[in-house]
Amino acid sequence: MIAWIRFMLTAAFVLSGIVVCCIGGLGVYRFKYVANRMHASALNDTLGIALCLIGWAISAPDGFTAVKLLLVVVFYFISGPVSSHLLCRLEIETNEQREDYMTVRDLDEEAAIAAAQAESELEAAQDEPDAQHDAGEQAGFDANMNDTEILDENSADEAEEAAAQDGEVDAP
Amino acid sequence: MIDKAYHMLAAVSIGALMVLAILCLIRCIKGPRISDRVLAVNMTGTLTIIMVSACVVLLGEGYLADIALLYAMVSFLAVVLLSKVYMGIYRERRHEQEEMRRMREQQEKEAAEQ
Repeated sequence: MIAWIRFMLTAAFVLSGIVVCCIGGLGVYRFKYVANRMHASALNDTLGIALCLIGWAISAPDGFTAVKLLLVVVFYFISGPVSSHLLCRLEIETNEQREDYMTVRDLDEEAAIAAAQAESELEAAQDEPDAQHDAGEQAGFDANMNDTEILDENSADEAEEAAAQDGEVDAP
Repeated sequence: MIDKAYHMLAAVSIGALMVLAILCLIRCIKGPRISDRVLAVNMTGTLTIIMVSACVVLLGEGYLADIALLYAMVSFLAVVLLSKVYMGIYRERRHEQEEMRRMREQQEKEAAEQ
């Protein structure tokens, strides 16, 4: 009975692992570009192998063998990201038409641009308060003067027009 | 009875993995770029490890687990070495091309001066 329970557990783990492996394998076969294929291959390298080996470790001949099979999974979890990183680096360094497929961000350059921007903003902020204050005062003064004049004119004109329109509308 | 069930499970899983390994081999032959080929080799290694671990239970031999562990290490080493080697080859070729261009420009300049 216990043997059958072990078998059922093994079969469930292994078959789900095989399904994941099939998805990954079809992805590696059918996708268009290396980065997409790397995605499918990473699926296979982590979830697929973990499910399959846990399944086979459940019904391994002895405990030591089961531990060794789980050690393979641990090793794959450590080495998988490293090999993906190296492959992606190989692709980025050797592909001269990579802009057709993907955008590569130059992080050093972006950091330099951001630092320059922050510096210029800081300088502007240090220079600004006095200048802004003066300019604001003058502009506000002028604007107020102009506004009042224009407002007076406008309001007078509008009032006249409104009165005329009212008269015209009212007359008939 | 249970032996037969294990045989069935191992046969099904190994058969599916063999088909996937053949797909990876096709990708390895067709792959337009060198990184496609390295990726396909890496994936074939993963599938082989799963097959070997199926054999551990099927044959009841514990030492095959050691072989699976060693295969994982060798597969990882192969990917690291191949990617480093091809990066080095690419850099060397580019360096040579730049030197050739520089020499040609110098020769043209000398010819123009004469």
